[in-house]
Amino acid sequence: MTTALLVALFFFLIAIGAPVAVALGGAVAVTSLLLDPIPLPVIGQKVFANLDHFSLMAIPFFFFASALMDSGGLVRRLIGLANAVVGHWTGGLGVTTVMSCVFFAAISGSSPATVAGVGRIMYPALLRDGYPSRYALGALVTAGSIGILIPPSIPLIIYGFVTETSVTRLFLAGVLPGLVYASAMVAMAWWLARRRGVPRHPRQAWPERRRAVFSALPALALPVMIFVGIYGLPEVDLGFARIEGGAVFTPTEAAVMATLLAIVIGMFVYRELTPAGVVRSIIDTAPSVGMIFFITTNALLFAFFITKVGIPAAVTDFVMSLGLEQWQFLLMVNFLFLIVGFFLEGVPTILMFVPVLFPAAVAMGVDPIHFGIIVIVNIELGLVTPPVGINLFVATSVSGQPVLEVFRGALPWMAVTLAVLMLVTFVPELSLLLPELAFAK
Amino acid sequence: MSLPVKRFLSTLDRFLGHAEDFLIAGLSLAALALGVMQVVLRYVFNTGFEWNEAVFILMTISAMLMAGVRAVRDDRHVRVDVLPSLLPDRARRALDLCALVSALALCCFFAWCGWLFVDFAKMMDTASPDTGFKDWAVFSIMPVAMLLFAMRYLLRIGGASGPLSDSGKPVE
Repeated sequence: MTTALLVALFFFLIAIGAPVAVALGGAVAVTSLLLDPIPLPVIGQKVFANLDHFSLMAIPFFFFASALMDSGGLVRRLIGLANAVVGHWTGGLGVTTVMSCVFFAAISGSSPATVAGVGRIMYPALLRDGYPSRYALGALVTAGSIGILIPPSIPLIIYGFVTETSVTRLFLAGVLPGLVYASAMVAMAWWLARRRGVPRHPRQAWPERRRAVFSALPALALPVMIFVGIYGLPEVDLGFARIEGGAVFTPTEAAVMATLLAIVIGMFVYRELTPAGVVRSIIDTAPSVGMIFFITTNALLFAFFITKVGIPAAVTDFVMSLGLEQWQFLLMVNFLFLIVGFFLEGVPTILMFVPVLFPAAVAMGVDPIHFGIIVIVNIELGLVTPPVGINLFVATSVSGQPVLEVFRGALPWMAVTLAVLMLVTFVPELSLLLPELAFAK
Repeated sequence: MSLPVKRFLSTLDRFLGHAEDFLIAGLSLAALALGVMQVVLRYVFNTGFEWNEAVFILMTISAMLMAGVRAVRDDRHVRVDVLPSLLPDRARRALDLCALVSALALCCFFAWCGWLFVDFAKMMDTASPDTGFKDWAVFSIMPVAMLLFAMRYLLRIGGASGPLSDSGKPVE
């Protein structure tokens, strides 16, 4: 009865268009008041305590870092670098779009921020160069989704937080699948450009390329700082000197330092950022994080309540009673996330479904880190599927094209996402190799 | 709605907007400064303050709760509006109103629960070992934030700020 009321209330609130956070919290509040009481002060305490975790604090600062990169001119330089390196290939600008998304992803951690940051510059450039609008839109929305797979990644931080899995390991687990995904996207950009006969550019002269590389070096310092900060340099013994290995920062500290570095580079190196611009970027970006925090506290209250009434345990028992093989279970999970992805954004999807599915996945013998990467690739697919694909909306606002047109453009590129999803699902080594190598000791 | 009430709501909306801007930027920058200080002190000078991390978290949470309040004004809280978007304009507005009232009720409920916990913490008179801050003072952030959320939802219902429909403009 409790479960039925909880689920009915949740779907009722979702159906009338209440915010997802309100649907989660409201369903718990009413069910708890009517059937299965939680003492009210405990609810009051949980709503605050759910947010009181150091690891969650990485989210606002990675958001700020990506916004400041955009307004500080770092994104433009990274795009210039990608163009200098691969711009002369067949489909060079398409490949540049993918590469720029990869560079930006290595700092931002947010897929919509990647689409917006890269899209504002690359979409008009692609059209000017004679690329079909659909090609440009598809490249942007799907390559932009790499942002959440290559570390740092906001959804991976939230997954790690919900499942108590090491965020550091999760970040490392995303590297190989991210690189495979990016390579497949580059191949698709090349193949589609060849089929459509888009113009090819001559190779840039060396002085021009050198200028692009030097100009982008400060911006490239950001991902290097994040990566070295989180994972540290390897231990090196030079005989006369010894470099100690090991991590320097936690992911949250890396986010803080990335924000600081983005401000310093934007203000003092590129001189495109003013103090007022920093404040404006923070004020404009913060509501997206405020929304995530409000969902997080409500979702954790929801997770607490469903655990109290035994729903995850019941789901685990049910899955085990089906006698599924691990691959069948993972296929089922992929199918579920595909359906959910039509209607929900990434962060709410993780907060709502992972607490229910995670115990079952662990019971089926799936590695928590591998499961995390599967969830993230599923979310990447959800970002480009209508009616609620946030990347589609961002691309719509960047390009002025209708959502359906953007989706049509994304269709051939989604084949790559699906292929990567299957690869990540059925080749766990792809996700687990780097964390196992790095943390073997 | 009478003109003086409209004017009052509009003034309140502007006042809240400025307060949100000030708090979001001020608290975020202060948290950034504390975070940087923590890293520099720990890794460069091999020292640190034991209150640093706790205050950094408190400031970040407070800033992001303020940002959540701002997200109510800008209608940036994620929702699935598939059903409302299929309905005629009047029905959609009615559903939007129901959604806003539900959100308002939940925020008031959380504010009430938060207040009960603050009352309990006051009675226990406990304090954080890291910062020395009284727990009731720290936990009162949430009921205050929830009241501000509620105020924003009231303004949305009153049509003083944010879109009640998909038009993107406040309802007159």
